[in-house]
Amino acid sequence: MFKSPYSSIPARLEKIIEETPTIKTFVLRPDQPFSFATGQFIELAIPGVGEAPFTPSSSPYATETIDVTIMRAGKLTGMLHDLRGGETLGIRGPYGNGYQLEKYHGKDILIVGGGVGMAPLRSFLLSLLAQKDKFGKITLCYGSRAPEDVVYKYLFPEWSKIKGLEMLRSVDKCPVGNWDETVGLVTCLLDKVHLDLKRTVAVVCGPPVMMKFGTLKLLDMGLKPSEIYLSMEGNMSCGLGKCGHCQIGPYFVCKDGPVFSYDQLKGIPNPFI
Amino acid sequence: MAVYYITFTNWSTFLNALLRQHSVYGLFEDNANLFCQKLTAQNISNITVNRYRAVQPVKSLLFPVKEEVTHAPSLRPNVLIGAKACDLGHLLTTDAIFSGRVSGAGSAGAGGFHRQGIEDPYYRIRRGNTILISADCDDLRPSCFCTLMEGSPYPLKGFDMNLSPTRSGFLAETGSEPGEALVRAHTKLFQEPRPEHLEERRQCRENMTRRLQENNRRFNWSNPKKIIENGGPAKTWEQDIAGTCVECDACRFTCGTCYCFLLGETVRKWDRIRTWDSCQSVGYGRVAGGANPRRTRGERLRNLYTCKLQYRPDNFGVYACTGCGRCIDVCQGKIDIRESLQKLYDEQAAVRAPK
Repeated sequence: MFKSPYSSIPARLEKIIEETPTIKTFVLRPDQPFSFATGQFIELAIPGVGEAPFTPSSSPYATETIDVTIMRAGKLTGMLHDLRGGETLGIRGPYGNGYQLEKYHGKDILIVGGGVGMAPLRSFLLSLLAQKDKFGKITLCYGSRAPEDVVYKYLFPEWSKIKGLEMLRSVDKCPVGNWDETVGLVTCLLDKVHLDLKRTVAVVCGPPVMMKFGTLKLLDMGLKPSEIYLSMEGNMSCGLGKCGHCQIGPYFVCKDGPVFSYDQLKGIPNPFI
Repeated sequence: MAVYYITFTNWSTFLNALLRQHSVYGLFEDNANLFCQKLTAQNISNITVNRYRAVQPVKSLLFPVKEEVTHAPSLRPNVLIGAKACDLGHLLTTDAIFSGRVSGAGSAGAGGFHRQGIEDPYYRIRRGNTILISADCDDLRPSCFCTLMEGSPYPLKGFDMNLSPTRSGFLAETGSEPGEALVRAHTKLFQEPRPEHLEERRQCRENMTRRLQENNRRFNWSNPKKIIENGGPAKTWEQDIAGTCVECDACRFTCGTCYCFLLGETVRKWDRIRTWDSCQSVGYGRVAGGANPRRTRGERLRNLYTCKLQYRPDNFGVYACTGCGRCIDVCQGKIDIRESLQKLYDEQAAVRAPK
């Protein structure tokens, strides 16, 4: 039977978790088996309205349901945020390369996340934790705008108990007394991290300005461009490397990315939006 | 493959035979413009084979302006008569994109980062069911510049059959098995070519190449990829090159290698359509929240030239510009890619020259 690569399959919106005033996690149950590798993305549609790309935030090992953490940012995400649960949405994919975990075997891993950029990093972290003995020390640096903007608040206590996983969190600004961790940009957390440069890879995801300065900081600290992995999610629409919207330089982010090492991006004028 | 000769009388018989079996598209002149239209018993005698390229790019037949992309594509065989060398050159880019193939020498040069894509069934089926009967140019438009883009006004490959005009008929060269099959199905209409026919073709081709070079004599740039790689200051792009752009997108919609499309939902839930899209509109690269990688006209036009002359050659080993000149003809702001490249080339030369 003919199957168009542009067609979605139905997925029931089973549950909505309110993470922050502007971010919600949508738990989807596809009506057909659907698997993805961590860091790959899906196109999520409100049928008859439109679709947009999101990287699942759940573990790829949990195959029954898929979590997608979404910030209210535009028309479609606004409509998603107004859903109550129980609706049927459309998904297609997965697309892109994802995080190539085997490349990180035996390495210390520095995860740098900002805002809702924590979503794909949660999936990544869960994948690392599922086979923790294959990796060295894992460090998570996570920056939010304010304490109320921190996503997955309920998971951090659990994660803090895990040996070999160090977590550093910051908020850009907050009134005194509301936050007992670092106040400042996520880049200032990097000052507190001690890296063994020979065995560290960094994985970065966040808003463009944070990706830019995060990368510059990591280079400054001595990391090689080929050891800095960036989630370059853009305006991916078809997901198949054809429609053109997500192109940066010679790449189609949807097909050649969305994860790029920084050395792949050299020569592209202003790769960060 | 082989070269045959067909008289004008036999050509007319051949054309009528094609029309009985296929949907045939040909070129028709209107006010010095050639338009690609469906052939009918009524208009068949007015068809133009040679001259120059049509107003519409060939991709319109293979990748329609708007199409439904949920259900199985239809399998209607088409014949297109009168595609030119520049048109066939365009298909190298659209074929590569829609097949998902990665082929350029540059893809290895870029570190092998480019991944294989998924094939688009809609394009593949239309492409596989379209017989291309191309033709040599025996005239040109002022905007033609194939010779500057390492091309020629006559095709050497990429056709099923190619027609070169002679005084009394056409030389018909076959370039594929489907092309040969057409000859086999009408063996009585095709003859062995005589040496004077081949000589006529050689002279016509030489003459046209000369005319094209003459047409573009005021441009002395070469190696456009190098010019784009060397770039230029933002001011040159914003003011000197894109300054008169009115963001009408006409250049993108007439371009034969532009493959970008907008995927959308229809009122019938679960059905998707796609329409051509243009990287020159401000919202093209914009993401939710409003961030935009290319806010200004200069940035967008620069990205466009880089796409055509650097990135796609890196990916696929061919320029995604064959010098057909369609973008020049339709531009309301009189932006001429030949002149844009000349400006960059002259600026770069001025920087290099000792003071």
